[in-house]
Amino acid sequence: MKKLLYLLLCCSTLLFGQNELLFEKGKENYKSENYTEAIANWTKIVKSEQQSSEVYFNLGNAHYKLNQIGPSIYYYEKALQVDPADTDTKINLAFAENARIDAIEPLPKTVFSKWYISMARLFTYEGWAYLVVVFSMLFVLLFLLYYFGNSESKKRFYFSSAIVSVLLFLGVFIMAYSTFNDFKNDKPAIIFAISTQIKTAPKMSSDDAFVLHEGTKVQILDSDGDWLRIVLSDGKDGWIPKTDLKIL
Amino acid sequence: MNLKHLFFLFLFSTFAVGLQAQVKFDAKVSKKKLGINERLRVDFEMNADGDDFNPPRFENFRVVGGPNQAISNSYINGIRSYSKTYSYFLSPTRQGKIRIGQASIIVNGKRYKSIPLDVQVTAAVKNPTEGINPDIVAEDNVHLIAEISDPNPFLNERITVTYKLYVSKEVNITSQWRQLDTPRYADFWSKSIDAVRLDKVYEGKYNGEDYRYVILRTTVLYPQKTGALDIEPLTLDVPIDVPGTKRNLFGRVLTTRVNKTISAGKRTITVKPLPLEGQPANFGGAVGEFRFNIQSDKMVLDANEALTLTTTVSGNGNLMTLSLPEVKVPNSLEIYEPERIENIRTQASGISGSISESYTIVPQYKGTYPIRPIVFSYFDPKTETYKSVTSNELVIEVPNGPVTTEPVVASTTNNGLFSEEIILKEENFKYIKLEANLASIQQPIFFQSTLFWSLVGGPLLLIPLFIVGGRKRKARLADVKGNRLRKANRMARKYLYEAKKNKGDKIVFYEALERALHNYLKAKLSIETGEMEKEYIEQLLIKRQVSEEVVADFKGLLKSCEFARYTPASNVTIQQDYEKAANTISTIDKQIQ
Repeated sequence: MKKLLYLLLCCSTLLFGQNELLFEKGKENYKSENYTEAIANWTKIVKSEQQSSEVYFNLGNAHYKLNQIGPSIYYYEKALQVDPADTDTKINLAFAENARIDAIEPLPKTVFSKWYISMARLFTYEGWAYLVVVFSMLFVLLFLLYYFGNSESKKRFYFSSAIVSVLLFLGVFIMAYSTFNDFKNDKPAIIFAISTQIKTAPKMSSDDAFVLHEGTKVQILDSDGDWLRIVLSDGKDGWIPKTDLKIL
Repeated sequence: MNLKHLFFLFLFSTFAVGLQAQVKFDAKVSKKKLGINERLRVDFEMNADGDDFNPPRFENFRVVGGPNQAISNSYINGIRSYSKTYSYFLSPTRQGKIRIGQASIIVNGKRYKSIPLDVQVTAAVKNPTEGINPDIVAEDNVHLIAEISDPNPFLNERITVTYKLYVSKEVNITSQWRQLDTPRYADFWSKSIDAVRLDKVYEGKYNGEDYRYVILRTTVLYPQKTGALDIEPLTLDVPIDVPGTKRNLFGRVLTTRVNKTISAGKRTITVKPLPLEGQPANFGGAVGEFRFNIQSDKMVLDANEALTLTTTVSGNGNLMTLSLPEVKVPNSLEIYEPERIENIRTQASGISGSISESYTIVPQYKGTYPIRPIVFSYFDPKTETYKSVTSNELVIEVPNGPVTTEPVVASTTNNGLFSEEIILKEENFKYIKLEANLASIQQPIFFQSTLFWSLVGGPLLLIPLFIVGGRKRKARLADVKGNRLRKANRMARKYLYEAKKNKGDKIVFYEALERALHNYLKAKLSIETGEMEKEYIEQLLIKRQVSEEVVADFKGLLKSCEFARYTPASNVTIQQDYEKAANTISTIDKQIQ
């Protein structure tokens, strides 16, 4: 049993070392403008069930250099899923999105939902969860300090800060909850086909709804056999064959 | 000198050939088909004077007139042409195919024979003609024919209709005809090419007979509909010169001019639809043979400069009706409506040339913009298959310019903290990251895990715990007597332990033991050091229902502590005293109330 554990440990460190090596190789390939090789090496890392926003970002860059807009946007979005606050990723994503064919005007948002979105973008739901723990501890600490405080002024200070921390606690808790819900309901996908016809029903013979091109981000609502129902950020929806997109 | 001789020789020889021209002896009939109540004229014509003309026997004919002999002799440009004709008028005596036999003549001592002729005699006709009615002659000798290159084309496949006017050698057309009805080609794209020079006369056969013909017009047609389509006839009013039987003073044949309306007849063609099998999705109706390419005048430019992107289809086919594939460019390139430039020539062989659409494109932001290859599909009617031409991919580089637009003024009304993130317009494309920071993809979710709940709930549970603990501590702090007792008890235990440690050192041992006992008493009986009188202690202990035996032991212990300071004691007694003290204390603990 113990031996097995050691073996497992050894394996994992070996794997880790190998992936580091692959990452370095990919860097060299990228430097020498051998982007296809770089993509191959970095994809191996992702295949071995390891990831980081950096690997995804680099994959996005390599695809962009090969003028593969769809995969490039896919990997930048992937990087933002891991680290939603990375500015480099956002900048390069803007470059890739400029080269996208479809221009989709998102539906106008209320001021509140804009606030919410910019708030939610600060952390992942895991980050919010850690904040929940931090504020819960802070509240307990401040409350106890208030409770056992001996001077009136100290007690007053601790009480008010405990109230603030309990409000913050509730706030981050709600944020954690709603971002987690968003995460569960969020099924984004990137169109990979250079051009694809969106249908009004999950059948080849059904009417054409509109045409999408590679790199466009869509939300998946439903699936039926080999077809997926998607909705765009401007509210249009339709059915698309599964093979034409890649789920993030 | 030599050359001159040769020239004369040549001249002489041609002259000789002229003299030695071949003798021709032909038989001609005015018509090959006639009713039994009609008449037929047979001419035996020779181009040399001959003797001993011997007509055939004209079996099944009755000779109505003749032989009439006519000789014509003319010099044109010094060349003599001579002809001598014997004519007979015949009336058939039976229906069916009748052969007119050979006639013979001797020219220069040589016998020539004519070729026998077959004549078809039919039943009696209504208006018997003598073969000289100009109307009928005109009708029989002038024909307008519409020739269709392919009566069964594909949709949008080129076909040509060629209008030919056949004129037999019997009649002449010397003046201009008039077009009465121009055909309209309703379901076709059409273009007519009128013959530029009508004097170009071809020799051809019509119903097996020698005719001359001119090509009046060639119309190029591209059917726009499938199914049976009619081509309306072309109708002409043609003045025809028909030679009569009479001759004028100079021996010339007098001609009668007849105006005749002739039409090419209605034709129907059946247009096949293009096969659906293998039809590419982006097929735009092009039928023919094409090349396709796309090019840009600039590949590298700055933002807000303009480039021209041109798609061109060239080749042979329905260029005027096909639609060029639309160019799809990235959304941040501003693209304007294309300008269509046609460079088409229509010939009898079809439409050839090129059409192109040029787009003006203005990039707004910097970056690299791939323009994906465009596929142009057409149907090749020769091989009856669809073909696709794919253009090459263009990559437009925009090295200078903003990354995004400047933030909209309205968005500044949002306060700074929650405003939309704005990517600076002058940012550059970022280089790859150099740190891997790898982690497993299957990360356990922390939120809502047991650890999460316990980390959130744990501190909260601490609150009541702390509060209870705090209360107890306060209560204890408030209890002065109890505190003293607890302290004494603690001291007793401490000294007893010290005593145990110092069993080897008599003085320290007994001192510690005494302190331990004193403190024990302080704790148990709540007395002060000042009250440490043996009698008082005894009294108190007995009052607290400790057995006298134990009290005595206790007293003994205290006594031995006092004595030990002055008297030597063995290690054995020390050990005994220690055990005794421990036993006594535990017994008092049990008994005391």
